[in-house]
Amino acid sequence: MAESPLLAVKDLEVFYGGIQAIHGISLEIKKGEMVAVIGANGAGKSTLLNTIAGDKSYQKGSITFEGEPLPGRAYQFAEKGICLVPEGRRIFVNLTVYDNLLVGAYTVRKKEKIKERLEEVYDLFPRLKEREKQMGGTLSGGEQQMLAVGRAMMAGPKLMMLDEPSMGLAPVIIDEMFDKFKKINSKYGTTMIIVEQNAQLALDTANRAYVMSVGKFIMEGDSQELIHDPKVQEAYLGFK
Amino acid sequence: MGYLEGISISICINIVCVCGIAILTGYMGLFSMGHACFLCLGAYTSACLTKYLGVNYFLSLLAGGAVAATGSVVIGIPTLRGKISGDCFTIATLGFGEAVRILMANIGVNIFGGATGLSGLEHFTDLKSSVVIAVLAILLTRNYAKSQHGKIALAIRDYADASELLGVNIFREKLKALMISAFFCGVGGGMMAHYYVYIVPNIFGNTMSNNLLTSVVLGGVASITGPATATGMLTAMPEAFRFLDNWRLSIYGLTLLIIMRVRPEGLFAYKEITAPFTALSRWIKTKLFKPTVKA
Repeated sequence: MAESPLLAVKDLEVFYGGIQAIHGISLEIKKGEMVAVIGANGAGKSTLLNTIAGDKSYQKGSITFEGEPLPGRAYQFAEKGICLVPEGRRIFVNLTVYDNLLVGAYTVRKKEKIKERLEEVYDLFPRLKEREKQMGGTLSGGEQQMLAVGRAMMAGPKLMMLDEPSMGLAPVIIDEMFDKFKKINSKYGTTMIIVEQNAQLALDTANRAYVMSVGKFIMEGDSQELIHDPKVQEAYLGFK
Repeated sequence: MGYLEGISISICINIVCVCGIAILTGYMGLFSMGHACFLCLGAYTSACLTKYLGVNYFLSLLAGGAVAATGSVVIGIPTLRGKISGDCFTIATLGFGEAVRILMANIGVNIFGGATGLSGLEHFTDLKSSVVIAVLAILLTRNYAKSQHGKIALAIRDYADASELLGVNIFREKLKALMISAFFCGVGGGMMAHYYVYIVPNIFGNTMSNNLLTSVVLGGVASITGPATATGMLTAMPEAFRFLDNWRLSIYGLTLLIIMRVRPEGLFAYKEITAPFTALSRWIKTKLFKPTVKA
């Protein structure tokens, strides 16, 4: 285990004005891992992702990516290989599916690379290819989620973070989406952090998980172990 | 010069300026209340170049555009940075516009003529060249809209945060749009100077900025031919209804109100008027490529 972690967060503290959202979080994620962060509403899960993606500034602690500190501005994070699929998808409604994907490839300079990635995305989500010329705003919720993930894939990220990917989707689509996440992880070796309310689903998908409550990690470990942990079962999986 | 020709030249000048503002407001979603100052910079630059140095008219237009684009950097860098909202930019341009106008009235009085203006310019702006420049402006704007820059502008307007997370340098893209729009306005200003042959700082006031912005809002966001048509209408309409005396101003206001109420996103939002252009290109093709058979 001499390999250094891809992402290392140490004693992170984040405030919204005077309110502290994250109280000293530390985590380490190795290359190729698939990690879930579960927890109740308002636990600070989204804040954590936004901070790692550079959308929110932090007050204390440190974040290092591939052993280096993070750049100063949010747009530089994508060039480094960190990509966040934001909560609520945020599809560009006035652009076609194809153009949405091209905006995702903003940081990619080579034309051939863009073409190659486009093939990959269409391969993974054939539905997007069918809707190539359609406006982003006319897609269904599931298709929009596919587009959001595909758009993030276009940048060729090393670390992909998914914020509530199951939000507002039909159960069948959710299962399909999570299968695709596994596929992206295994096929392209993309490291993933998934933040989810649906704890069962997240634990089934990920190798490892962190349980978050009121801005702190209260538990962490192998996701199969966590599934069988009575405390987790009671609080997040609804067992009695 | 005929009356109709005069109006047509005015329309062409306005189209050039509106093309720039269509990029800034229609695509990037930034509202500027002081774009007349870029016309002012362009007008004075090109007027001075032709008057004192005898530079070619078209070169002086380009120089005017370049100076206006450089001027826009001054306002763009502090206001488009970081997460400052678009409102800040709007208010800053309002102030900047006034500042430039007053500056031009007070500095270099023996060169720029101060508040009494710069007169004795040559009448270079004729209908033919104006139409060519207007068409060129429309084509260039269309290229911007179809290119990656235009798509990214729309993406930023939809969700700035999401596009930043994808690695889009929002500041750079916004500044680029602002510079292009200022360039177009500078060229328009140069044309205006050589059409009126006399410029005073006061004509580049708020009214002009507002008229240009109105054309874009009325013509529709994310469209080029829409705003171009709208500015044509707005320039010609007051002339056409001149017999109504001051009532035409009320009609003007009423028309705007009705359109705002019925189609708040503008007449041709997200649409282009393509039919005449396809017809034209077909006509040109048949003219050019049809073998002329002589009996």
